[in-house]
Amino acid sequence: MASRAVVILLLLVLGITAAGCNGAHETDEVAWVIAVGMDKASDGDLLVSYRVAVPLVLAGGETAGGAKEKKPSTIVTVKAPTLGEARNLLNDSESRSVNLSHVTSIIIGEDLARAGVQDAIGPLTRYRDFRGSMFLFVCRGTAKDYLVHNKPDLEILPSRWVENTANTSSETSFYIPTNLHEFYTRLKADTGSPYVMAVAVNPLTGRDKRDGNQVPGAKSPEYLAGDSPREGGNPVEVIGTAVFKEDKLVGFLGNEETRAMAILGDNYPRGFIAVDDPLAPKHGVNIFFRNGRKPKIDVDLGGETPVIHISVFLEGELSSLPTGIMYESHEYKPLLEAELSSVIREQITKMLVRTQSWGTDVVDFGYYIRPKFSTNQELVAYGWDKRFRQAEFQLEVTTSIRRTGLMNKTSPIRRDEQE
Amino acid sequence: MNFNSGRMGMAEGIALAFIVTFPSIFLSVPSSAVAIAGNGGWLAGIPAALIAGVLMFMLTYVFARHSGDLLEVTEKLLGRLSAYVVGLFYFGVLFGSAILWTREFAENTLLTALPYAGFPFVVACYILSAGFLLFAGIENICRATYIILPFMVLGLVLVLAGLAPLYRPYNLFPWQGNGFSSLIQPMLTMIGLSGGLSVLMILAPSFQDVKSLKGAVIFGYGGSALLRILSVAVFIMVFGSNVAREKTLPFYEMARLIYINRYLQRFEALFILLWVMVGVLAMAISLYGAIYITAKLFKLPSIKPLLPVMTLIIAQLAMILPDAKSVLDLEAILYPYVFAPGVILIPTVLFIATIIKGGKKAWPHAQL
Repeated sequence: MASRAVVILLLLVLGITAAGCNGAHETDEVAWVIAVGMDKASDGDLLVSYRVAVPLVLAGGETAGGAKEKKPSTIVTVKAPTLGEARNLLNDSESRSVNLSHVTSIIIGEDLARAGVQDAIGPLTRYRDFRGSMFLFVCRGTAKDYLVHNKPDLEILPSRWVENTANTSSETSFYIPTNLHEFYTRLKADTGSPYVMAVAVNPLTGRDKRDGNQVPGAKSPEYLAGDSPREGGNPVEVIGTAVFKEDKLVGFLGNEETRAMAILGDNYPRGFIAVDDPLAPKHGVNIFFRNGRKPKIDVDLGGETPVIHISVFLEGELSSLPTGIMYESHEYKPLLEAELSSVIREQITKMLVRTQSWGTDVVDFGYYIRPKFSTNQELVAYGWDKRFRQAEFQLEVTTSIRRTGLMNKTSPIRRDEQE
Repeated sequence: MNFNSGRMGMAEGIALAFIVTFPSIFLSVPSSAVAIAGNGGWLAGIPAALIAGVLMFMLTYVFARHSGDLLEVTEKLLGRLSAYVVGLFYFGVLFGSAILWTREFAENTLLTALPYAGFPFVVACYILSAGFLLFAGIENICRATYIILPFMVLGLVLVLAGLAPLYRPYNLFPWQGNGFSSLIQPMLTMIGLSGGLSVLMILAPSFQDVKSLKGAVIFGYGGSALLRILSVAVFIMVFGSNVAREKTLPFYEMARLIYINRYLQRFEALFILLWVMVGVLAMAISLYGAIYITAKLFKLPSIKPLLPVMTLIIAQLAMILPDAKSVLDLEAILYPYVFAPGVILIPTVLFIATIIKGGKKAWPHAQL
């Protein structure tokens, strides 16, 4: 009898508890934050901007009532000394309970990033709401600007835009998706430097604002985030990389430098490049290429300064060949392969020179020296950060154009010789 | 419920050996190991597993020649006083583990799944669940554990596989971590944690033959050790030793990182259930072992009346320590420096005594 009573009691308890969880809120009692932007206020506090989803609009409930203009999300900015205090203030302004567990992106303003993100990053890895898989950006300008101007045409919610943007990075590798986990592990690791995606608001004037000189043989210039010559579309663009030394932003890499990083990090699945036609340099040749194998990287620690041996092998497919020169043939193909190898080698070198001058090992060559030591104490005593500044690079890039696209030869356009 | 614990075979033994040694992977033990030994922390599990395995095999050798449970065999070989000492030691190991696990699982539940729940409420839920399970009997608990065992293992393997894109194998180097000497404390901790395996020897009369006991050690403890070592290695590969050492809940953090696409993420929600189940089952089995030893030491005719009392005491003791960090600090002393020496010494002494005194083949037992 007693056991039956216990079973009945247990079933009753189960019936009550299985219907929900302790402290649960109905979804219409929660304000779901989908993005958080952090800027530095003039007095040293944080300016925290929250993008809060408006679920009713997403569900279509408001449109039926005629409120077609209502936006699917709203932005609230509060000034506070910490993220926790900012959350409190946000909660005071919203009728619903604030929940940050659906935040997909954290955007850090340039000023805050240059001053150091230690205080801002602190709660992100410790508090349960934030996840390692959240995408991290640094905005050239302010994070608030990014949130305000992010108006994707193809997505209803900016959070979906963030996820799709990160997932489609493999199309170009002009930016490398970085999440909180990757940033934080690099921030704390013995080797390597942290970096995140760079984002900016493009003025959409179509003006060509290039970053530095083009490498010889390359047709396409280098752009930083916000500088691409573009009119129309979402004013916000993700291009390049924001590089950190310790917890401070030291500079931005452009699209091609970022692609060079991706190639060395074996994070380059595919992309187009335009190079000079070797025999008719005023024309460009488009090549669709990718890493043919994982780059071979070996760091020789035998001498005074480390020597980093890098061997990159690329494989390509011709996607546009405007001149009639037979680059498909065995006779001419090596010229084009050498041209692509040269351009990529120059772009990689440019990236390495720039990051080495900042003292930032963004590729994490230090990762490859780990097996050369027996204990952590030896690794730390070696002082990779200092050695990296003096490191010498031996870079070899080879290319094999394996496919010629849907054409295997190019017939010349008939010209009127009289003209 | 009385001293008869049913009749168990290899399947139940495997489940028992697995479940009493596995909860540490869901707690802070991996990050504590990394904090001391650096990226060599995963290596500490290998000698610990080998030593604990050998010790258990020494005990199976003893039990193959002497019938009875651990206390009866100790009394036969070393006398009544020694049996009391051994009994008190293993009571300490099992009771202590039940207290620490109750507190840690309760804290972790508050930290992850039920942040708004009251602390005493969560502690009560855990220990009452363990207590109610014991009413079903140890044999049934072991069978239920065996049924859910494949799901646990599959779940764990899926987490480890889901993290594959984040593996950085060179994070396991420099291979000695902070040096070989730094491996000693984590190794002792893991040996101390294997003290829960004593339940196998306490329940020895319930097993059909010594082969079942050996199978339980090889497949149950061996499987648990293998998965734990693998999990710590993956943990280090994914986080690197400098971040891994910071984590309170390594397994939860690993499950949280799995991001297949926007539709397939937040796997930790499922795995919280997994570790709650493992925790409750391990608590129940440790509690059973502690109650059994108490009843034997005080020659009580039945163990059933002790159940509510012990459950209440565990709940109270679990809530004594002021904060979660104190629990980890206590654990860092108890397992390597208090439990591990006994876990090593007692089987060794019993083994030597058996060799010296000899004994006939004494299996199967005729108690049931």
